Amino acid sequence: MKKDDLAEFQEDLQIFLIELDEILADTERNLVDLERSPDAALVQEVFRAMHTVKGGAATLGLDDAVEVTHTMESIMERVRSGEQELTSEMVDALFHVLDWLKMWKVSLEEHMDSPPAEDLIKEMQRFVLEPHTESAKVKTRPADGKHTLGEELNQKLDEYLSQNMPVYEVVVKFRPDADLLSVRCFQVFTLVSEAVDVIFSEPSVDEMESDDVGDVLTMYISCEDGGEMARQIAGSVGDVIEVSVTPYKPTNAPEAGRESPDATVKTSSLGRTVRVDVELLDFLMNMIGELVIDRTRLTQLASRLLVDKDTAVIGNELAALASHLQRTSQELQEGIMKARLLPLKNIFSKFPRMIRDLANRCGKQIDLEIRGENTELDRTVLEVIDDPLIHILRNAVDHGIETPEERRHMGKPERGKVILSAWHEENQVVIEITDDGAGMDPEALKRSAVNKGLVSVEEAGRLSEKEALELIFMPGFSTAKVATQVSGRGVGMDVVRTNLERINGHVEVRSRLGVGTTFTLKLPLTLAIMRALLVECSGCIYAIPTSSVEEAITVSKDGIQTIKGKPTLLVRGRIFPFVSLEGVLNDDPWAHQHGLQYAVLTRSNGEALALGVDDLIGEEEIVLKDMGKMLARLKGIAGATILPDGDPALILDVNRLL
Amino acid sequence: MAKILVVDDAMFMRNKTSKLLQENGYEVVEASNGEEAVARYMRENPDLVLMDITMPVLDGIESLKQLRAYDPEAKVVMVTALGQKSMVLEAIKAGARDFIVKPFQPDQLLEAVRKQCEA
Ligand SMILES: [Mg+2]
Repeated sequence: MKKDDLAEFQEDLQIFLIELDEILADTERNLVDLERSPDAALVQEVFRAMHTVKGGAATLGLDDAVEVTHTMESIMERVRSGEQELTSEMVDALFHVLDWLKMWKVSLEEHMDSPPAEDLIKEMQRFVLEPHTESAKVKTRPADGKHTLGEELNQKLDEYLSQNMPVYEVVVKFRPDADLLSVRCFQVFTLVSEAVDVIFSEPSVDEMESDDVGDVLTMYISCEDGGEMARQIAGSVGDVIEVSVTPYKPTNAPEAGRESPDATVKTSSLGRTVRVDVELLDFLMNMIGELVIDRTRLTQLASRLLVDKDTAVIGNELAALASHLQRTSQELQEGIMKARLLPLKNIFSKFPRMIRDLANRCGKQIDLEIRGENTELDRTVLEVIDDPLIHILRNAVDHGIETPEERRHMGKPERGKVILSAWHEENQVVIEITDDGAGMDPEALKRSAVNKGLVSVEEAGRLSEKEALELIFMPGFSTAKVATQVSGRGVGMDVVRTNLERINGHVEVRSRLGVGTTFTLKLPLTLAIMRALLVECSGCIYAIPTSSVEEAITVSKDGIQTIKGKPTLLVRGRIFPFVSLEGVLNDDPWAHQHGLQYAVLTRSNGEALALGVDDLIGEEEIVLKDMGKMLARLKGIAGATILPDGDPALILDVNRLL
Repeated sequence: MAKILVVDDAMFMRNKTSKLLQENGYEVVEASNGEEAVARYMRENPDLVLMDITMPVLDGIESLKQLRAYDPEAKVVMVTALGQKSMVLEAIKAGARDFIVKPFQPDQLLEAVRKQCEA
């Protein structure tokens, strides 16, 4: 392959793979729906999908995928025509094709060998009753164009001649290896018929329609131009290599019709879209962060100038400039953020298949309904919520939805329902997972927590229903008696909550025994910019994301009490372990707590916590700066930001403080 | 230069075909299904239509019929896959001028286009 060809192939491949992604996701979903209820439109969609992939793969010369998609296309074709019914065994095999295509796609992206396809093709061919071959067959027919005319035809042609109507024999030769030869024949026949009177053709139209053709078409025509028009028309059809026109007489030598290809003019063309590396977007986002900071500093400078009469004029201009800069940078910021957004479809699309497989394994019947899959989120947020969603959905299948028998007993429909929905709410995206399953029993949760030693019997007794549900987010809590195949992956709801809180998100649960469970995820649209409470402790300024701040309060000296030897803060009847922020960062949580004026109430690792600080500076929009791995390893530090006055400040990761 | 309407539901195929045509000096407009093709044809009045067969909303055959009803002179070349013989036959009956089979070589496509644009 020449270098240009290779580059072009790579470019084509990129586009093909992007489209393949979408097609595979849609098809997977369509198959899940099809298995549930037969639908001609869906069959057609799946057929079309395979047809499209096959066409693309063939164009790129990727033969193994052509073969695989061809088997699936044939099966869908048979289902479509009613020749075959779609059994769940077939659906399984079709899913295997999709799995293979996914692996194949990865192998293309990673420049590896294609996955083996022989077994798969064998599996598929079991369903294709007779092997389907589509290669153009060339029937044996007289290739020399000579034709022995029957008595009847001779008479008919003579009749034309006797009426002074000239008759010509037109012999058209096709490339023997041409595709769809019968259609080529028909095309020539049709086009010539439009111009002149075709008295007879061999093969006949019937033979063309039933594919009974060779690589020669002979026509007897009557016309006034010596057959010139017919020659031109036939010669202009693709795959025609020779056209001969001779006045009607029993035998004649053929003559070649030729064309000379024109030189084509080359011009360059540019596409309408460009691909941008995510790193570049991150860099641009960072730069905009700097602009945001400059803008804030300008505003501060302006306010200082405004105080003095002599400088008020400049101050005003500066303020106007700052506000203009604010608008510009805001629009820039929104633009970049938009470029980073991806629809939830990207991760939602695999769930129907996943739920189907899981439900089959558990012997349950479950419909998954997806709403709002076009809701967009920052790609990083999308990556982080993937595993938590999988975990919650697995739980819904495993522990939520009951078996068909249990459901029948309860007077519920045998098919369970899981609804996954997403929507925008102010500056957040909300994702909800609702099932109509067994729900959670607060008392059972409490007993389980006590048995595991997570709470005392007394503590458990004091918990409200809502608080009892919160127990599932405690580390070490799992309602499953046995780790099942489905959700026993050692990941608990505590990890789900921690993961979400790490991206300033949040998860809540509601449940009614016997009715069902709902998990609500609240997610930031983007990660790069967040609101934070700025606090000061021992001369350093820290930023605490407001999403992890419950409340900030003033501490009175007698508000701090020592319980079991540890300082605690009593706030409206709730007990918070009280630690100094500086102390906790220096791994000496119980030090430096005297004389602290304020406390920030928060949760760390699922536990309530009061962080003592010297001063509350206020709430600010901060820009999360990437400070490399060194800082990321520090306990309790999520990153850093630059404050309006240009000083750096550490951003706390409250969850990892203790 | 001639204006060509490329109709295909596969973005990949549209892209590849359009690029090839543009590189050879043709003006290209695109449609991703049969219905869109009819609308674009009315607006753009192209010299030639390259029409895929298997498409959502309105397939290539129906689109061809509507195009020919709107403009009996409409020049349409079907772009087909192997195994769609009966549909291509129907297309020819309905007035398609020519067909090419996917996967095609660039020269095959350019040749078919050139012939139609000259005619
Ligand atoms: Mg198509």
